[in-house]
Amino acid sequence: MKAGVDTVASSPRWLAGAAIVLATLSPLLLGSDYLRFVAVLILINAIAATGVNLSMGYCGLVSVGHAGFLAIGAYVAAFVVNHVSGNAVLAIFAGALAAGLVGVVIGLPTLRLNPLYIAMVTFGFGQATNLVAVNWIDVTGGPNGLAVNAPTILGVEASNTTLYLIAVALFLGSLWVAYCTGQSRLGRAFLAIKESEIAARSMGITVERYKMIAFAISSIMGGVAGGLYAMVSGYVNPDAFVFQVSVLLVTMCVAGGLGRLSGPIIGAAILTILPELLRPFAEYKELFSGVILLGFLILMPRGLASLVGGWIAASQIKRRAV
Amino acid sequence: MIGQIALNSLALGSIYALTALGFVIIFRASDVVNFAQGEMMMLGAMIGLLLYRDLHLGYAVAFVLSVVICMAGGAVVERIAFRPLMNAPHFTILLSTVAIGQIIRSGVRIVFGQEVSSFPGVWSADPISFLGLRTTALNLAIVAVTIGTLLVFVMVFSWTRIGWAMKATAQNRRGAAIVGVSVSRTNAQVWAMAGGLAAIAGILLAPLIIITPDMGVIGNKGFIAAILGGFTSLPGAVLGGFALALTENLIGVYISSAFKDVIVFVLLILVLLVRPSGLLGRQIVKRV
Repeated sequence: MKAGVDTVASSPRWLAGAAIVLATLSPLLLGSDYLRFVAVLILINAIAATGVNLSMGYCGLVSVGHAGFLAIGAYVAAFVVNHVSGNAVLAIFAGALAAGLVGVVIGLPTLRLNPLYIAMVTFGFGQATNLVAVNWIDVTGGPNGLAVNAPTILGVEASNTTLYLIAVALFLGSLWVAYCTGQSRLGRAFLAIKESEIAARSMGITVERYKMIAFAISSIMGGVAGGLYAMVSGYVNPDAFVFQVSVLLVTMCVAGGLGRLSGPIIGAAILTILPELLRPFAEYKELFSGVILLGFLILMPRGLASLVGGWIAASQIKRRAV
Repeated sequence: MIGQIALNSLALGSIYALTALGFVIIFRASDVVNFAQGEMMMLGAMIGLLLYRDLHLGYAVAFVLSVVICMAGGAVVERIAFRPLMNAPHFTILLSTVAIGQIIRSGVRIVFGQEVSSFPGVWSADPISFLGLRTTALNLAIVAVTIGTLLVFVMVFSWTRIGWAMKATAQNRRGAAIVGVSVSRTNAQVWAMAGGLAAIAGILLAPLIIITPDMGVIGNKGFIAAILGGFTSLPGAVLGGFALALTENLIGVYISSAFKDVIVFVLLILVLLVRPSGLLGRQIVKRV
């Protein structure tokens, strides 16, 4: 199985890049604020899901508590904007850094153990973070949440368009990091670890170190997504970072295509738009996401991206045969 | 004071122990962490409540029926989430149990609503004093039922063919299959047993807390207890359950009850750092 090396990437690279940039910028043309907000949400989810994909899809480390990293990113960014400096980029950077540090602290003792432990520990981490958000009322505002002041850029209050551009930049940045990881020595080491830790170790890969790198990048991306969310929505509360969000991020990766660059993006787009379309059935949202996850795992474990990839590969083979 | 705290921890520890045991037997037989275990516990409490309060069945009947239904439920979960994926990578199975948990939780919420209900008291919650310590009939009953369950569990494990098959499968799946153990049937039995244990824990827990579709979160505690016990050891899981409850109550009394669960999580990380094999577990070694 190929991971990271997307079949789409074999078409001219600049073409794919240009298409992605244009596609992510196009919502700026939308007149409606609501549609633009949905577009930002897709970008935020895509960043977070790309992070989950990096650890889970590339390296086989399951995180079922990634909402915890989003929460840390969001609350730290909110704190920075409200109390330290209004700069949106600085705030998101601080959030990402904090999430990355916590990721390292959690990863250090856990990643050297059986891979199942990281799943269990991230699960506990997600719950613990949420409890802190609910109970540390002085800083987080408790269950009522926290209003975030309007962030600034270069001393000027950031408009919605500016924030959207920041979101696009961060999304493209995450995509680029994931792409480079997949293409490099790092990505090959991750893949080797995912396939067999023992084989990877016997080939001279320092398994613990590489797992730590994968998990750290992944948690940083979670922090970026969370910080961005705080800036864009102007309000953070614990309900935005519950266990279901972690499951949703995993579902995005699985439905889109685990271990593929395009997977989490396809998944994020679909699973962000669908609940918006199905708002009257909001009650069934959680059930729906559970069924999608289970269905894809059993029936189509390689996700939707494999359809597209398979189609391109098939057409290329046909061309060669002619 | 310490004695009183320890006594108070026994009831909660019993519930953690039963949940932890469910995690461990599934892990040993199927090499999977079942993330739907907490939801099975919630389901047990919900069904017990439905049968006892709404259908007016006797407590014992409601108890047994709920356990039986959850055992069937456990076998169904094995069939849907584990068997089709048996040869898939580990994390796939793990995620499928996460999905099942989500489906059960949201299904219950859709059917019963997000209503908060409490379990009508069967045993009195009035304090009983002896030797200067205070407890309640409810707590004593929880501990007694748990001890009974554990005894039955030990007997099944050591004296019945089902138990031997479970032990053989846990030791070596292929080896067990060679000597004629049906591995898939044993897996189904183990998941059913874990479902039953979860249901017992759920019904016992029900009068202590309020029942909501989200109460499965407490399953997480069973998890932590199982890790404390080493995740491979059955007595470890039970010991881990009581140790966790005691630690929690000590933190709750002496440090902070709001941040109790957070501190427990930090302690868990420290345990993994210092002694990942837990109290009684063996290091999980993977051989090629």
